Amino acid sequence: MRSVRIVVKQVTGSVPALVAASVLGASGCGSATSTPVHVSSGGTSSSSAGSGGIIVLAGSPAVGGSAGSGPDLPPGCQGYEVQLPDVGQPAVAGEICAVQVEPVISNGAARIALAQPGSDLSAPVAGTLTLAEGLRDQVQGPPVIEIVSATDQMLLEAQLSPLEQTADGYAFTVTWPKGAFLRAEDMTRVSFRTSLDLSCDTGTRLVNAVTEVHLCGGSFNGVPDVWASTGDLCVVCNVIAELAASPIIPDHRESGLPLGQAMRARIVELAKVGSSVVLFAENDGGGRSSYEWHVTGGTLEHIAEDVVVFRSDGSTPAPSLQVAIVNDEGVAVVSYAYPGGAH
Amino acid sequence: MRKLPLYAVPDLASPDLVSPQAPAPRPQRVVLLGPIQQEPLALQYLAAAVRQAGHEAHVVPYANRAGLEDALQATLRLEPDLVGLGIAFQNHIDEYLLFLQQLRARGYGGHLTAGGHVPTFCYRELLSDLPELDSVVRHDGEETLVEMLELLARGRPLTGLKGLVWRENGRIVAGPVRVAKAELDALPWPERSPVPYSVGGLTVDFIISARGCVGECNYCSIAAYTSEQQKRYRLRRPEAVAEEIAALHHERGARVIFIQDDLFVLPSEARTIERTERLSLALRARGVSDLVFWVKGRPETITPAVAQALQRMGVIHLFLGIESANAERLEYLGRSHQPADNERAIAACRAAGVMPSFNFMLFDPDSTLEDLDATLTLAEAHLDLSWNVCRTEIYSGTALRQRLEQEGRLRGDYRTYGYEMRDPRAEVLFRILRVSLNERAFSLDSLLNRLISLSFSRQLHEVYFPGAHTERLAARVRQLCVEARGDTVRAIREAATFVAQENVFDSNVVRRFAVSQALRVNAADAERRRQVEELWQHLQVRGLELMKRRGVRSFPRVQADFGIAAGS
Repeated sequence: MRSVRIVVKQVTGSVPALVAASVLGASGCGSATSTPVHVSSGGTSSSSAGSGGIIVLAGSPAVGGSAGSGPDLPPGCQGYEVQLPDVGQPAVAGEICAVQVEPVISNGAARIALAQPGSDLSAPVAGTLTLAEGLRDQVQGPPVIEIVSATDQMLLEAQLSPLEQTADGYAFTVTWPKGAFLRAEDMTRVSFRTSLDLSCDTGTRLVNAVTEVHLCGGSFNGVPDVWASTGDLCVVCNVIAELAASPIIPDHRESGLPLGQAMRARIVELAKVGSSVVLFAENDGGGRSSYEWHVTGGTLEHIAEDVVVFRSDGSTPAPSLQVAIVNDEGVAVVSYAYPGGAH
Repeated sequence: MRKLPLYAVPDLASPDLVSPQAPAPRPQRVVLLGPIQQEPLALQYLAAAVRQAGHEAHVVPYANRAGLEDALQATLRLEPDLVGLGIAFQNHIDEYLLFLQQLRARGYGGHLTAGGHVPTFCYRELLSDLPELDSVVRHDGEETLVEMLELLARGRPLTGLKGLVWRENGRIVAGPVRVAKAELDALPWPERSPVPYSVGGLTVDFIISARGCVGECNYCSIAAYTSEQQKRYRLRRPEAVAEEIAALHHERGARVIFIQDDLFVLPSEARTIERTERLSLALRARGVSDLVFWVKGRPETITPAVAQALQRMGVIHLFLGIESANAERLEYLGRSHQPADNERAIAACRAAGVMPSFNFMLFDPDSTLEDLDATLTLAEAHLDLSWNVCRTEIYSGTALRQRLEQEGRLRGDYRTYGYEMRDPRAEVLFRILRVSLNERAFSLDSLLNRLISLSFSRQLHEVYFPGAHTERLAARVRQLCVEARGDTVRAIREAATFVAQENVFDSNVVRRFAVSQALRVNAADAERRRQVEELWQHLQVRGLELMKRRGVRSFPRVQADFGIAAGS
């Protein structure tokens, strides 16, 4: 799973400024820079900025990620990370079977969800593993579930019960025998990896699906604790992707006609810092999509194919941008209006 | 005059709330969920029946995942004995299933049921797929739900009721269909939100004066629903409707009434005129005069005399079931009108000062590229009116669903039916437009839907606050509408020419065209969207202030989202 790291300079009495934004790879939290780091002109930004003075990370500071002022940061700067959901291969048997290199990453192939935690974390928590509907008949044997990372060492020491088959997947319980330290304000995350064997005409494929499960709520606004998985929308963990089912337009991938996939897409605000907005083009097009960004009345800086920093230049009353997401199966074009228009 | 009920937890000891039948040993608490874009009258009718029987009912909004957490928490906090989910449309059914699953996963142990059009027809699929679901209520649910609560209160199993489907020894058992209650006026009034809805600063309210429809459109589930319960079309007495409207007017300051009947204008001209006149008379007798209406009708029934009668009643807006201007397509869809009826109805409305609005079903399973032209020509001739475009969708219980299944062309399942058109050029055109006009026309929050709401708001200001300032605002709204709709017709024609001339199987060429058209349309709409938002807010604030100056009751909070009037 990738994340976006942004560095913000905050000086008392002035508007916060975006100093740098970068996309980090899957291997670590803040240590593995895998794509070019962009450093903006930054510094002190104009006080005419729109919602200036407010740093918003997808709903609240450090939501779904982490914040800190590490030793690698310039003086007066604060770093934030926001995780980006990866889709991988679409959870379609034909698409997965066509991939030759194993394991095939298809995060939609299986999904973990946990029931609400009780006050005693050493008590078992019910979990469900839901297999993508189109794959169920081709999954061989019970999958294997592992916890591959977590925000706390104690969370890694979970014990998972054997899987029990259900109509759409499996049920299990997870126990943290030593308890766990659940951090307030949505800083707790557990990454589950489901490994399953999928039967294909040419043999089997090992498929890996990662589900990020965040603890939402807690001390935040008195909202009760709840585990929210990738695909849910949690009122405070807005960074977890939510893509509602496409209304009334099913896919026609099997048809010979073009644009068979009714691709769903939206532009998500990852962060607003002064006059800068960090935007993520979330979509269900799978990992092979290309992105074309178009901007009107502002400047655009790319920090990844699907992540950009957008700044209004004040030249038009309705600064906006669009992104076209294109792959072999479908296309989506979505637009974004700069908050509050130009300033 | 009857008092208007608003949401409140009833005093269960009050004798007024006790059913004339045997009182329940223990009052039950019910939570009913469904989308609340407008006043959810279907749920409120159920809630009112529950309360009248001496139980407690709460209506909780839930439409999609964004509201999942709030809905779950609100439901669990109330600790209900029964939770009922109203599912009227299939396009968000996964969201409802998710709610049911999450509610159980979080430990809810009470009775879970679902009702509405989708469960009425898909009860077997829902109960098979969802072990969390205990039962399904079919058709109108007021009586069935109350009987369920009586059984629950006595600790008896919920089986054997008319209108109910339940589980028994691992089987799904459907009770006999419950014949619909003939007398709609015997039902208690639906209870309204204490925070009223507002368009253009005027308080709007919603009412039902009839249930069902006389039409037999192939794509609509209403005909199947009402014929099964043996009451196709039921009317309330105009005097009873007037009583309820008068309460909304006097107690809440309502100046706009959306009559949410599936069909308001009757097939008979004489009976429509008589009904509107009786309603007007009854309203005047109750001191109501300063009021306008939004209603629905079928093109073949809108004669000049009917349009004039509607205008005299106070109707300013008529949603017309035009659908298409092509005779073959209308016949395929099971419509009983001809293209000439469309023009006559629009002309009659314009002459009477009633604004018509409509939807164009540009595509259906058998439509061809050539079929589009007549409908686009009609659309082009009425750029100043409110309209949007869509594809005919497939719903459970409909003749069209059955036909496609018989033809082996039905795709998907009860959660999302679909199809591919016979004409590949029409199919590719639709796929292109679903990309390029997504934000303009197809999404719920599309520009054209927002313009429909804005136009209605403009119309209200023209009626209530005529003058130079209103004229200037109205001119801006009209210009935006004409530009956006004119450009929509141009874009559809451009895409139609493209698929007629190019190889529709060439993915690269088709993708490129879809992207370039979408970029152009969205870029043109960025400024329009900003202006629509600005005008919507301005009309809202202006209307609130002007009504306050007139001494009309104002509320500290109102619900004023675009969606309230998007069906206009």
